[in-house]
Amino acid sequence: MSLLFNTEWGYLEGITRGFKNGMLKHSDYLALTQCESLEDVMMNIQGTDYGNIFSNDRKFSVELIEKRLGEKLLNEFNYIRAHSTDPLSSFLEYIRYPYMIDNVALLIAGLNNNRPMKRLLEMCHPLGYFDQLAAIEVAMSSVELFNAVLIDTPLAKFIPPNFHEETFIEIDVEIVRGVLYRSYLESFYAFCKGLGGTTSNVMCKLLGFEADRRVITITVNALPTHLTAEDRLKMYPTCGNLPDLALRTLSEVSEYDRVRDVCNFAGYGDMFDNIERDTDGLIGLEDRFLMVEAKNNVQSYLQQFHYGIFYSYVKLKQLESRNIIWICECISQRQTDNVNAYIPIPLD
Amino acid sequence: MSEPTEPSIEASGPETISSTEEACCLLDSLHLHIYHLLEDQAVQNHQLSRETSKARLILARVRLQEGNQRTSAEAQLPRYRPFKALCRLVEEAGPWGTIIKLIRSAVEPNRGYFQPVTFIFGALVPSSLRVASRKWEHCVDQIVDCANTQRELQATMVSIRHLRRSLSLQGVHK
Repeated sequence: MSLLFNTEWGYLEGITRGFKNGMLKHSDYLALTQCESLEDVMMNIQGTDYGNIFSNDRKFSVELIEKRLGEKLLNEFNYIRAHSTDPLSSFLEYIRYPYMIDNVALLIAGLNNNRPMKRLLEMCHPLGYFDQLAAIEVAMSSVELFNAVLIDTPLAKFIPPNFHEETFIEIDVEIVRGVLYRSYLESFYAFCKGLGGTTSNVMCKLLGFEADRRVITITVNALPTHLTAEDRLKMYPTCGNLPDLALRTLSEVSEYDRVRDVCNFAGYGDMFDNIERDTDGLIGLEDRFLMVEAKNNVQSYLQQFHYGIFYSYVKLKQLESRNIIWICECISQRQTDNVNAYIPIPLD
Repeated sequence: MSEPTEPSIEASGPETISSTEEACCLLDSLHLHIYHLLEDQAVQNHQLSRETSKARLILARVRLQEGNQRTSAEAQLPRYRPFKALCRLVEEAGPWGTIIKLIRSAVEPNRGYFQPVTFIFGALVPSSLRVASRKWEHCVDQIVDCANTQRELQATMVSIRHLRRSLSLQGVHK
């Protein structure tokens, strides 16, 4: 497998490892947290592997920095994608599907709120662009969106058979997103399992954690709402490490402490413990999941000749981008006491 | 603190001297009241500034936690779909003028009173966004307090002006 892997994808693995080695280290984060203005941050970023991404910009803002960081990742991903062959190219498409789902959810929400399609398309994530997205411009309502486009798009395979046009109006867009995402995650898991070898081992572990995280996060977020157990179960991916009994129990709990008890039993109790950091209680459940996710993605680089490094690179790079934006927000809001509350990526 | 009352303009005489003295005492009380109100205003502005800073930081935290998994808020803000506001501002008569009161209605989806954060952002709102929403609601309460303090301050200043004018007409206060 190693020999075959290098023949087809060795170059791309090398390139991706090079990209990963250029990610920000602890010393880079230290320098960024000591900046006093956004201009300082931009100058520091240009001294890293990001390079001269702000050369043509004069007005400095957090949105601009976020945009340029996203463009850098997009260029790198498109380069890898353009040089890949199957099944890696299918694997890379799976990495893009969540962004497509987010874009579709944005279009549904926007159309339901009578937003102009042109404006909505500008807000879409570039990693989630697909050919038919341009044709979506003709859709004036979410019913037309369903009929005219989604059936023939890459997301068609994730739409459950009981979904119809009116679903997009009747059901909360977050539930639509949750159902699509569940379908995507299970499909991705099955695809990686089918690949076998190290890719299967690495990716099934990463995706299993993602599935469990989705279950727990959806449960916690749904606690103060009137979502039924059936609605929650529709969104719970089943490819994780949580057993079916835990999923059924979580779909019915109505108190935070009960969620904690079930997660203790399933091995995720540490997520609910307090972490002592001087951050005014900013660290929450999501942050703990992000920390574990970062650690798991860094560990995927300990093995060679598998596709997991491509997935991990995109995840780590996005987390890095979010960390930089957090630092920028703290600096622009003059709240530098909390600037160190970014999610650490253990690359050093 | 004694309530400021309108000074009475009397003809000169012993009664005038005592009413003038009362008016001067009243003027002193009003000045002292202004200083207390200025102090209250400074404290309230500081608290409001702290609360809005915390709320903005939590919103930034939501962006860090959710990343690209959240839909742009601009797409989700409802347009052309009227819904009833949970908060209403009413003006009521107070001891020194009109005061603003914030009335909050209970959440009743059957009657069109929706919880704004779930109505706009969907059913699965992250807990940090709910915390930010509560902080912003608290900010609205603090803004109402600031506005009332400002109104009381202005009413007190107007009372002082009236009192000074009437005292100067009596030829006492320059």
